[in-house]
Amino acid sequence: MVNKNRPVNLDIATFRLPITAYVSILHRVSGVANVFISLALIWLLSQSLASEDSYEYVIELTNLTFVKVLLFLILANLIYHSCAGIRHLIMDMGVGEDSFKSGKISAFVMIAVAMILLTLSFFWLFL
Amino acid sequence: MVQRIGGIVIFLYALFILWNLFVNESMSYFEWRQLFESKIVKFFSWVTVFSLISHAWIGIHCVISDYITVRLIGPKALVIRKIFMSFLTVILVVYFLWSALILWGL
Repeated sequence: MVNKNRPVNLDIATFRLPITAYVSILHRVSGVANVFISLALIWLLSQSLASEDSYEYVIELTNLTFVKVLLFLILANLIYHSCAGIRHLIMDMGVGEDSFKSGKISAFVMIAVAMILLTLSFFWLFL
Repeated sequence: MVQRIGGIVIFLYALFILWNLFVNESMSYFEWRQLFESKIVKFFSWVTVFSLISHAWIGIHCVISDYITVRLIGPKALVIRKIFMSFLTVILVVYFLWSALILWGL
């Protein structure tokens, strides 16, 4: 019989997590966000392809600073999720998954790459 | 494996669209539509739609099965999980039909 009343630490706030855990949790959070982001992107695509008028409307919309900020956040989410996903693929191929240390290094490298891409997308959108 | 391949397809499609927006910033409606009307891009779009739906389904299923558990939130977990999964299924079916309508309209 399994002891159903065995002690389990459920107080997540008392855990100190390594960077690899945060990277993994954020990958999940950004993935869930992508479900809702997809709705906005499908809408944008349908409007942009429906007619010339609705295309112009989408262009006008995306020129608003408020919408640009939203697009930047969407892009940030996609960049993060892609980078974290690619890190997983590389680790699946057997690279850098041999030790906790290599996992930490790849997590730092991934964040650095994501930051660089984020900076580039900022310049693209706002300058 | 479906999750991995789907992820790569979506990534390449996003890259392809962003690249087109980047190199031709003042694209006209005509050019934009022509891009999606081409046979190869249309095929790429369809593959991406299927990839996106399966990638999202598997991903959210994993997250829900990990956090909505009897241990974490009690005996109602299984019912709540079913509700979440049905909600997700409805959302993804709507996304699929909407995307299909866009692609058929080209």
